Amino acid sequence: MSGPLSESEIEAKVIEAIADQLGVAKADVTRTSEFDSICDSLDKAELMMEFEDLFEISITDDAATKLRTVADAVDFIQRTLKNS
Amino acid sequence: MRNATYRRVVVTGIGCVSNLGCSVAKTWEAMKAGRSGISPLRTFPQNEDWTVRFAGEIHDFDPSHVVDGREQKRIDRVALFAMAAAHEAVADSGLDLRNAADPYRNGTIIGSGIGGVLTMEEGHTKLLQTGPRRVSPFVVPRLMVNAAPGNVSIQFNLRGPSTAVASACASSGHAMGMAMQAIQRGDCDVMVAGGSEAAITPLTLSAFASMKALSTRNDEPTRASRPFDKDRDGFVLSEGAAIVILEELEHAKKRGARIYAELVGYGATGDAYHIAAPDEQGSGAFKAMEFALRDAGISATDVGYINAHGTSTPLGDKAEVGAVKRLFGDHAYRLAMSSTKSMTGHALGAAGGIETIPAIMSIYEGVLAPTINLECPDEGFDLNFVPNTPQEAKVDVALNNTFGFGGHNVSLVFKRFA
Repeated sequence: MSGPLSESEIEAKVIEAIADQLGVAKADVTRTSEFDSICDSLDKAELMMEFEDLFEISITDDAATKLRTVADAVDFIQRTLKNS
Repeated sequence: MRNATYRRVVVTGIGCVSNLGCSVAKTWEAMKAGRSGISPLRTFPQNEDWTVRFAGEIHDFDPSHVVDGREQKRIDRVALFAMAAAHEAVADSGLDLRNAADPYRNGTIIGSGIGGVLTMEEGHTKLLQTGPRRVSPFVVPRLMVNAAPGNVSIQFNLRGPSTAVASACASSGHAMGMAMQAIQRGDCDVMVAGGSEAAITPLTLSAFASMKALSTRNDEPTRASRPFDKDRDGFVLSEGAAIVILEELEHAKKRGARIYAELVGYGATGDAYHIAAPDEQGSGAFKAMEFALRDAGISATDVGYINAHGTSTPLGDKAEVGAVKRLFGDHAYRLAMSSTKSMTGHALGAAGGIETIPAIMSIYEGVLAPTINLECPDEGFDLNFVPNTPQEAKVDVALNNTFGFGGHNVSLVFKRFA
């Protein structure tokens, strides 16, 4: 990766990964989408792995539990990247 | 003889995914045409270390009409086969199971010899490559041997008995037999039953090859599966699924259902002999057929057709032919017995399901599917194996034999509905 990713770049990548994994249109996934309403626990677990691979970060189970919405995930990823 | 108060069970729908075609119509037409579904292996690369380089793969399977792309990622090929076959069988029956008044009266038993081994291998590779935190949460729901009935129960809202059976190559036979009994006992009215297998994987193929169980006729794949022929040299690994709709007779009559045949007998035994080799005398096979006929209350002389287990292994075919000759005596020379594995190869836990098609159709359509590649029957193999071309016959009773590693033997008896 060249240079830090902006928040909107992270959001685009997160939404694309979610849409791809769930087989839905990107337009159907927004910052306010809640993981519990768009996918089941297995999908969410797989998505966390996808985020880890995509952004080369680690998401602990505790951290993942606190990610309720897409915005939560974007914020978490941005914070983690900034601190790394 | 079974208790006279038992309820009668009929077949009102059939569905199939095989290397002869992804429907009952395509599979049955190909069987009548004596076509082979065996071809050089495509799904994974092989070098010259592989002693077996062909199989009975299904090349044109597309489950999009049953589950969408997202769901497909969550379900192994073995359960997708079962769901596609169940979809066809339920549609064929005309039942609206999803909107059943009492879904607890409908159930499913689907057998598989091996289950989601493709997922197991891919998951294990991932574990070794990337460590435990990258193993997909879908590995278990994909690989478990009961994934097929689990998914089919969701597909059709089946809330009665739902389970898998694992008895290697006899799995379908047990599944259909136990489903029949569930209806006879009164536990339910409709059972979605059969078997599924998708085990043409590097691990499975190499392991069967190491057992010397497989044919190595690499230069002639379509001639490799040759049950009862003196040059047979092992079975051909294949894949697929078949599902039958078993229904309580009055339930079927009330809705004016088309009835293919009545399922009247189920016999099951264990060899208690060797974990992989057949009992050379075929004692377990003999008893399974005897018990199935007794369960049906049918005399051996009424049997017109046997769909043999007939895998094309030297010992297995010999044991089965011997058992049939001893059980049926002179009548063995009047009935016909063919092995459609000569065309489909051996789909392990799905075999007995796929082979209900020729068994049922011998009664329903009066055509006996051939044993292809039968050029020179082995010594003492002097029965009517329906060699190479189909035969017309009026069959009132047909047997479907399936025998599995572990010494599991099942025989089912289908009867013309009257």
